[in-house]
Amino acid sequence: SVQALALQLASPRRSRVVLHLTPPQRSLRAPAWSVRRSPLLQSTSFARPGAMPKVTVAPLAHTKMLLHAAQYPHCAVDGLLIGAGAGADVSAADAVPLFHNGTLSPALEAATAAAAHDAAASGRRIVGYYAANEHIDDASAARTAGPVADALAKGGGAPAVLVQISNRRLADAGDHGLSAFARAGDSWGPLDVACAPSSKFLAALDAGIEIVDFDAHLDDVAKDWRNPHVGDWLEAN
Amino acid sequence: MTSYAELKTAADAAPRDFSKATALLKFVRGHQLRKPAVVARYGAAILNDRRAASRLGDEVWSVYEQTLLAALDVDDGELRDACEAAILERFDSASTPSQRVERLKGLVAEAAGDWDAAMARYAGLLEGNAANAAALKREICVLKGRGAKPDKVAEALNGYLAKFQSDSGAWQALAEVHAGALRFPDAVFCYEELA
Repeated sequence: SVQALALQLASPRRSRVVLHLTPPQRSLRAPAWSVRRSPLLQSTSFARPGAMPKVTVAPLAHTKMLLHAAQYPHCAVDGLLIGAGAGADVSAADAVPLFHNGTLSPALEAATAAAAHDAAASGRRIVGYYAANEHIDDASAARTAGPVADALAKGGGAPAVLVQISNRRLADAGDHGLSAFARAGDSWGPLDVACAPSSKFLAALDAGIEIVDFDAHLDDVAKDWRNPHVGDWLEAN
Repeated sequence: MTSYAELKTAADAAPRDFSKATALLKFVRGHQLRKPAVVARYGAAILNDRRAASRLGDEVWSVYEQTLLAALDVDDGELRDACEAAILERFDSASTPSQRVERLKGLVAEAAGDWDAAMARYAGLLEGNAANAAALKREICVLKGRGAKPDKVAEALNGYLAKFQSDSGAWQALAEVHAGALRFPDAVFCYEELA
């Protein structure tokens, strides 16, 4: 009977990170990709010791990225990183969530143009591209991630960083869950990620903050893909 | 004509008013939205409150099912166990086996990563009824969950679509598989079936 229930949403905070398990679904949109070795991750070009290039991810960018991934746990999500710097020291101050329904060039071009324009207005530029895979155990970089980052670099005039959200690592609240790569010749070399762990993101998730990505904006143009409410919430909390 | 956003704002504003929460859950159910955090929170609140639950009448079982699926999504073990226990107590009997409950048991197994147990359940369902679309679809989801290559998934989806041509969700899923594998002409073909 109903009375016999002792329900409580007292699960440990970590388990609320929704990329935890392959989500069962009413429709067929279940996680997909096979784990495959990506050429991107087989690079061996490491920087000289003591001069390891790194990307600094600000809490706002980190929170937006993970909120985007958490909002669409059954999809592959991607987005742009906005910030400053180049070469050995890149900083991502903000993130623009882009798609969860697949990334195709017309929408990507439109989104990039809009994001670049908005970034330029505040003296920043597109510094990188982030992505999270659909399948929780898929640690490879998406086939299109490298080409997209290259296209961003060509369009923006400066190299773009590739940030991968590691699905499995999200279960650990003390881990920011990001891996970064930068162009090194023909392939991609790993970058250090300087980022605070996920506590802000978990708090925002619990508060029910919803993110508007470019897919949602294309469905309803009244929705603001710049997500100012996330910045406001972070300042207030 | 209310929207999800309006219903959610109303429910957030009056957390003790279970009629608002019920309306929100009904909307989510009807429109087949996927809002696990919201459903888990409000579903648990309603089901925990004896009066609110009894006021639902028979609708309470739909809310149990909905909350169970949300609990699987947010990985809330206690909520999942409680919902599952209640559903099984009411519907699971040897004399009248329920296909819907079997599917839920399969989903719980899938969420736990127990693919073999889930496949066994769906195979059982298909033995009883070879045209059980839900079971066929879940088998494809298990295939995906195990990390099968996109080609295998596309093959399985094609097999399903050969039997159920009007399933738009399946066409969309197949289109996404093709698009992800950069086979755009095939993806376009599938998207055209949706129109």
